[in-house]
Amino acid sequence: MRVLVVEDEADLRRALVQSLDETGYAVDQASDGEEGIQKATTWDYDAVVLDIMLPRRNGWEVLQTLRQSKRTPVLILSARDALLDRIRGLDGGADDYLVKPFSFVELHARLRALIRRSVGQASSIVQIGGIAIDTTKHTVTKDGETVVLTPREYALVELLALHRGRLISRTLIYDHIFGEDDSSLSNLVDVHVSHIRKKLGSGFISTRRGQGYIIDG
Amino acid sequence: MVKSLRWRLQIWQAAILGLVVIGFGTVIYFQVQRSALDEIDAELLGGARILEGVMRTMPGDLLEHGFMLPPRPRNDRRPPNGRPNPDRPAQPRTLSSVPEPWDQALQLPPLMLQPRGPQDQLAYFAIYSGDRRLIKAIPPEMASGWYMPRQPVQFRVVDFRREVVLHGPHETSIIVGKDIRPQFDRMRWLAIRLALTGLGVMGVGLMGGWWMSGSAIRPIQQINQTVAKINASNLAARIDVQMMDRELRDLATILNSMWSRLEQAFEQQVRFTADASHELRTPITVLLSHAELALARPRSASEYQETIATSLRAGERMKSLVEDLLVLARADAGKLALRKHPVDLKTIGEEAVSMQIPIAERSGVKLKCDGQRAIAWGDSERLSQVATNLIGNAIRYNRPGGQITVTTMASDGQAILRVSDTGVGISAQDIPHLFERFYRVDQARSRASGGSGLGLAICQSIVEAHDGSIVVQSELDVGSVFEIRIPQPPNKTEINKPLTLPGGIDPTWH
Repeated sequence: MRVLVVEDEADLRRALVQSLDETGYAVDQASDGEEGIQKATTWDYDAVVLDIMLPRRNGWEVLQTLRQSKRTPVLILSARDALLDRIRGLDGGADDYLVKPFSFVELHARLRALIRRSVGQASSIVQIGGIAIDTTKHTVTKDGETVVLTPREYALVELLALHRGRLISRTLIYDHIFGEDDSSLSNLVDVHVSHIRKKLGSGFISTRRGQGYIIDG
Repeated sequence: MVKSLRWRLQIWQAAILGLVVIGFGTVIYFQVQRSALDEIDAELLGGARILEGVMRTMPGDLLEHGFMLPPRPRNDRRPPNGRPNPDRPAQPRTLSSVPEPWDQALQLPPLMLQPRGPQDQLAYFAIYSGDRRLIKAIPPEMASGWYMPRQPVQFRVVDFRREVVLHGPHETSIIVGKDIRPQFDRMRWLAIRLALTGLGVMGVGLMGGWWMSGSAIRPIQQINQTVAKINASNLAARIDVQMMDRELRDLATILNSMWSRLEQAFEQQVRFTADASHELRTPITVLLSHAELALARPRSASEYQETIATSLRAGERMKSLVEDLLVLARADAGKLALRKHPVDLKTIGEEAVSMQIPIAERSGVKLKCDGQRAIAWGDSERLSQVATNLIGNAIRYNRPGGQITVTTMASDGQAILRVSDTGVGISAQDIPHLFERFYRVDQARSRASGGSGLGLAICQSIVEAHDGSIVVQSELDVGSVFEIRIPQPPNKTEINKPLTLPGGIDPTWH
């Protein structure tokens, strides 16, 4: 899952990026509204964490511009706790509103829910045959046995599982699994897929040659 | 009840109305009484004068012997010249039965003394000689006895009878009187009628007064109701001044405008509190998020170090914000404990400049002080804070290669410190808001460089606490000039004294 963090407060941005990165998200960052608009409209993020009091273009403008072209889930993270601000945020196209100071546990839960809803999945556990993917705990079990995956492997499994039945192109996988700072080798996705197949069974992920990967529902 | 304005008005009105009615009634009563008596007196005196005139035409002896003697009844055994027996008054006789020839002359007065109305009494008269003998009385039983008036004419009241007594010829005294009981009765009736009318007038007057005071108080009650509706959470209610009289409209307008100002102040306060909490939230969020992140999993020493450094920065920011808020709160409460003594703004400017030169150099800005002696009456610590703040802003809103000049001078009893820069300038629409709390011309620039948005508000508060003024002139892309003016020490001789005394206390001023 690839997430964009738009926050002008450097110390806070650093904490957000680190926390999301450690959870397994691919994280991009923007320090002002202008940069935020530019990035959010260029890439298909799974979610955007957006501050309101931003230099150059404020959060409202970022949201407005983004909504003209994209349906990316947006979570507003603001110190403005007034009811009117929250209403304005949600009516302006945001999907969630979290007031600073916040807890990372809650931020992560809300982001998960946001992403789940955006792909039409209501439950936090995705069951595919004997394999269960717990998107809350980031764990995968096969026939009740826990299978240990690296964060990147898990992210790949989750991405394919949430979009099960749909063909996911290799570029899309790159976009969603790797952040802007990750060095991405061209065959990295294939390496991850082969590792996953070893752990969860070779039939779990099918390859459509030249097009991408798919988990058949 | 006495505390009620309406009741007090009513009581005063009742008192005044009562006095007027009573006074008026009394005057009318006595006036009527007087004129009634005057009429009777004139009638009696007229009769008496006629009697006197008749008597004057008679010789004294005739008066003594003829007129005086009552006509002798057939059974009267007394000598013709015998005195009338006081124990046995002369028998009542009608005037027409007086046989004496000059009795005719007396017919005129008694005719005059006929009753005037159905209730009027017949007048009577009596003539006494100088030796107190009754000469003549008609009707005789009404003669009340000899009386010699001290003045030629005297009026008196005896047993409900009004009498006029005058000196007649030959030492006689003539008494003409009348029973005035009917008049007394009439006066009593008049008094009762007056009292009833008075009460009626009072009643109508009081009712009218009650209605009037009610309608005068109604707008006040309207004001009351509006005031009752207004409280801290709802300052929106206003008095409808459209229908009010001028006097109350003025009051209501003043109240309305006061509420408007209050509402504005409240809104400002609410906004200020929201802004302050928002400003505090940011470092708190940084602190909490980094702490949470650090504890999420085992970290390396350098990671912990970084967390602590970040927390320290957040803490410092909170501290300076809280300090700024405290200064403002104190200034608002008028408790900015200034320790005033003569201070040279030149020294303050130079110190502030030398402290900030390293920061200015880092930003590529030239900073210099070019001042003359300017003694101000102020708190050197606070004024340094102002100078540092202004210079800090000038650096922050400047460009590499820019210049900042601090000049000081004294003029018109005021010490002036001026910070001019060749920075980015301030747009005309920002200038009016410049000294507002948490107002930022450029969000990014200010916060990134650690500004709280309170600096200029604090400068203004400090300068105003010194009875001074702060003004700004600015042109976008050209630069800004901030100027503070602080009054000089009240006494000129202070300027020549040592600038700082131990503890900042000047003995001549305490």
